Amino acid sequence: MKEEYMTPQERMNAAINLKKPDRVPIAPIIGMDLPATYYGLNIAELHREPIKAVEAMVKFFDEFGGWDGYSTLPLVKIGYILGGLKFKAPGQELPDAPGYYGQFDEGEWMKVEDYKTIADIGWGKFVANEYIYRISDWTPEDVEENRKKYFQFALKGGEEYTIKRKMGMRTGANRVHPFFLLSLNRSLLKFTQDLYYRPELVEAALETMTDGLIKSTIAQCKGNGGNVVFVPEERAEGAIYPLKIFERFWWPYTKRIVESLYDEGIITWLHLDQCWDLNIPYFKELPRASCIIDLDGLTDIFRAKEILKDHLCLMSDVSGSLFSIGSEKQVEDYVKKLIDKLGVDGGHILSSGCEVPPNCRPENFRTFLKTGKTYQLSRE
Amino acid sequence: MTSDLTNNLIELEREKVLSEVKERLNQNEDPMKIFEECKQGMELVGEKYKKKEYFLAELMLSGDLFREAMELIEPYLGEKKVEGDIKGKILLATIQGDIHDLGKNILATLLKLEGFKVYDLGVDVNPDIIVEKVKEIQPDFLGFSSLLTITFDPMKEVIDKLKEVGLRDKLKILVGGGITTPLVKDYTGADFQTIDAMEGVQYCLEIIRTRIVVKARGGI
Ligand code: B12
Repeated sequence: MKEEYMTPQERMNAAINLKKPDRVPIAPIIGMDLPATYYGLNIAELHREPIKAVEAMVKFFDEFGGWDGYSTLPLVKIGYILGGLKFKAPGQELPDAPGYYGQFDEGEWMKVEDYKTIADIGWGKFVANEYIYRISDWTPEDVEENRKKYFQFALKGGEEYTIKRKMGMRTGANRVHPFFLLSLNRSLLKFTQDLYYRPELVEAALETMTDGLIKSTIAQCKGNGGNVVFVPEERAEGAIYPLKIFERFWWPYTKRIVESLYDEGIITWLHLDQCWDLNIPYFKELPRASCIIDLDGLTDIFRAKEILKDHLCLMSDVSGSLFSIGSEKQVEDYVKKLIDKLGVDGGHILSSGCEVPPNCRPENFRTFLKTGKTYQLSRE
Repeated sequence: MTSDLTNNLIELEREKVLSEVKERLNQNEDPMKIFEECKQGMELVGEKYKKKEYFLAELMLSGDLFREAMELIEPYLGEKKVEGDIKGKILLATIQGDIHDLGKNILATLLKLEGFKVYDLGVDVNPDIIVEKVKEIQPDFLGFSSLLTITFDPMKEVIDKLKEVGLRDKLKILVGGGITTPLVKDYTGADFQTIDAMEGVQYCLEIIRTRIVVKARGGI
């Protein structure tokens, strides 16, 4: 079998830039729920003490022999609230019992009147000035304290993954796409009504939010040396909206985000859950190698490859179902298929659909890693 | 020929639909007729969705518009019944550990429109309660909405328990929601799986239809 000769960083850069890596880089998304379940830790406590979540995650990383790409930080309750997303955590709004994990609480928390405020002062200030108190029972002192807590926790994550473990993907910032943020905070139906019946209000907010996202991402990445921004979007795709909505409310803003950041040397990692089959061709308009298209198993990734080959790097999509109830053989076969079809020559990062689920069978995760690390090298 | 009201509903012209409904009700027009025109609009939206001309967005918007129109019409209906015969009974739930309900609610709206009686148990529902409710209500269908992989075992548990008490074959079981795949159908022992609410409705209609045919032929 051929030996590996690249560092995780080199391997990841090669894939993103559509050049041939020694083997496919591996970057599963793992929050804290899986490590916590695996080690029998109390989820309620991890939401209260996020630093412990980072510890659990890196312990898990080491025990399974590591991989190449930085997964996003564990999404803990304080992170959601600080970002302006209402959240239910075990031990707080949900039972502190096995089988319960933190979950986003979707509702019409943001009102129609808020669009104007957001358009005027931006999302960040809107959250800090008023919204955070609407979606939590925090006092201004709590906000301060939790902000510090979150900062320490992010720092710890960076230190453990990027510095100590030399992970290949340096995610400098996480930013929920403006369209997605509005959808989650207005709730799916209300936001859809806004798009159809109050388009100008939405557009004005999207404008300001897009500018804010670009500016704050550049500043944050300059500060911490990161060169990738994680941008999830799970509500704009053709599974939900016709292209006329996508073309008006999503595509121009996304293009602006990706292009502006790329000019500053920052790669946008577009985390696209749900079925994007209809929308995939649009991504050809983005500069070559400017972003990562991260799919979750519902988009036909093999067709996406046909369309985007030699243009953008795809991040694959082993589904939560396969990880949790599939057999090792099924996982192995699927990973081999991904490697064979998505590009031994670059342009593919092997990953999980959304995240590796908390009840993933450990054997399946081992098989995923092992196949990813050895399959290609053993044949060359 | 479809009426203006029907067309406006299809085109999602919210203001126009609601003002026309109000106006015609004020002029003492037969509320049943207004209801029928709205319902026809919904059926045509459904057709467009099946032909992929319309998306989930239009399905949701028209469903909500229809609901608003019905709120105006209902007080005028008095004793009249808008529901025809109930096509079937369906029990819906998002099982313990999962609090997602968007998809389940969309499905419930569509099923009601098609004349199903929907018993929605809500989210984070204990498996034993579901088994109890099946005993009590004796539905034709049981539908699980699932967005998290941790629901697979409890859903399987319900289906296994239904087998134990001899109720499994008395109903059809559907699993739906973004995380489900055919693998989930096999794992839990359900009859049908989808990530498209409309497909779920079609499945239920199909089952009811074949039952009627079987009955007509003298079968059970
Ligand atoms: C938007 C979204 C979010 C939003 C929250 C949305 C919400 N209200 O909870 C945010 C960004 C906050 C989020 C967070 C997370 N998410 Co999330 N999320 C999604 C996503 C992309 C869409 C869910 C949604 O809003 N759908 C819209 C509704 C309308 O669709 P639907 O429920 O599928 O319903 C349709 C059909 O399925 C059908 N249907 C639904 N039920 C039924 C039932 C029957 C009987 C029938 C016939 C039909 C039917 O009808 C509907 C209309 O057609 C799904 C992926 C997916 N493909 O579903 C992941 C998904 C649910 N999330 C996932 C994950 C991992 C997470 C996180 C844990 C990520 C993390 N690392 O922290 C967090 C925390 C969990 C949480 N819920 O908060 C995973 C869950 C897997 C698992 N671990 O078990 C999923 C499945 C993504 C994936 N592919 O892996 N998520």
